[in-house]
Amino acid sequence: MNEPRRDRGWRRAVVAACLVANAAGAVGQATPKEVVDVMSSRVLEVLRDESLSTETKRTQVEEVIYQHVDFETLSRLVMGRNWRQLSDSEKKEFMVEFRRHLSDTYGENVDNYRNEKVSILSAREEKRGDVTVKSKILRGGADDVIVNYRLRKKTDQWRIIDVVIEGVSLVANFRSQFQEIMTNGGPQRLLKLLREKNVGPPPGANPDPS
Amino acid sequence: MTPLLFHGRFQRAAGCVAICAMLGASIPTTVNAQSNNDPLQGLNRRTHGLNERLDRFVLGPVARGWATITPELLRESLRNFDNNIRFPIVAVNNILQWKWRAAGRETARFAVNTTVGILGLRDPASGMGLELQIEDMGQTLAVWGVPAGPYIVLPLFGPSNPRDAVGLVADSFLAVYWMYAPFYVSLGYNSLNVVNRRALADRDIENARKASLDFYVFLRDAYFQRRSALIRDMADVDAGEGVYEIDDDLYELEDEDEAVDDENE
Repeated sequence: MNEPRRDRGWRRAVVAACLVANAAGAVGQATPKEVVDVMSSRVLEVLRDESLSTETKRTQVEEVIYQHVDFETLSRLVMGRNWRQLSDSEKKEFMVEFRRHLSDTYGENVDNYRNEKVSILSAREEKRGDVTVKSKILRGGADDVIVNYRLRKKTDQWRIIDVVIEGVSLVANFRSQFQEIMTNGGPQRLLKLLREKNVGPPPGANPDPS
Repeated sequence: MTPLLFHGRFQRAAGCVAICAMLGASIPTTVNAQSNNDPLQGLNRRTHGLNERLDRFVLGPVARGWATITPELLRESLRNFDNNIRFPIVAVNNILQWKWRAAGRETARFAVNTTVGILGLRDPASGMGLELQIEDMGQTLAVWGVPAGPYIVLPLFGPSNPRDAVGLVADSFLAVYWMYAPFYVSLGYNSLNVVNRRALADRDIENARKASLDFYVFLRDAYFQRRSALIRDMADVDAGEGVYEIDDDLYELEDEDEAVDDENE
């Protein structure tokens, strides 16, 4: 009798310890700095891996980025005032096409990796509880690039909602562009331009240099 | 680069700058806080189209040709050399903005790179914490409270505004070396420098073209944001002010949206 009971007690202690560890894990979510750190090192790991094909690299980088970027908030911020002018189906289409546009244009550069390193510098709390994480892409001296990530906590997870490269915010930049397009042609024109960018221009179309 | 303004066919650009500067003086300050302060958009888009064609058919191909016949080390060295000889511009503008420590750092940087860095061809100073500074008269004027004026696209020079265009001319007087060089030397050097920098930025430029739906607006906004960040010095952005004012506006909009959503529910 004594033996099994002691055994049960030991097992219970292990289970309890696991539960406590688990709970602690859930409470101690990754900080914004850790999110950026994990994401950058994972991306660099993929880019460095010479055994991977371009296509595999692209999908793997995409996976990492999708995991850490809040595309819904990003889409809303990019559209700003115009978000309300979109119907629900237009909103959905916009999010899909915009995300694809970003992955396409940035995914094309997976083979241009030239031994860059990333150093995470500091984190700063912003208004509304957002956090900006400052980082630097090290390419040697004058070529270093300062990249700031803005993160927001949603459902207990810090995710990226903007990237600011050398002082230029991606969200603000796209917002200016989309604002101009919406003013001159409404949501239909914006979605049409995005679709065309994503699949390439229709055959026979003249690329307009201006 | 700047002394080009005073030679022959560039006089027209200088004339345009002067006219735009006068226009800029009559624009109230409040408008200047907006990135889309672009009343001359019709003219600007045409100039942008011209610049794009020049880049596609002349400068771009020439730069890629230059990149194929030269090793990267040479292109980087030339870029370093040019950064180094901009020393008087950076130092004087730091002083004009009353940033004496930054001026001192720039002087130390120049001393290190000119000696250890072999006439500035290498950049050992960056590794010693004396990093490249970007300072010019456009930023100094901004610090002095001069409004930017409307966005203008200069032929050949690209995105600008009256304040920065005036700054460009003023800075050219600080590029003292060219006072002693014959015309063809300064023109040759500056042209080569433009080609070289274009070659080094080739991938970034192609990426930007692909990533934007309206490249004209992309450039206008990027120019505005970048200049604002430089005027505040990138380091000051750390203090919590600066670039993020734009974001605050965004978040206010989002709050409005949420309020509207709540009403609808």
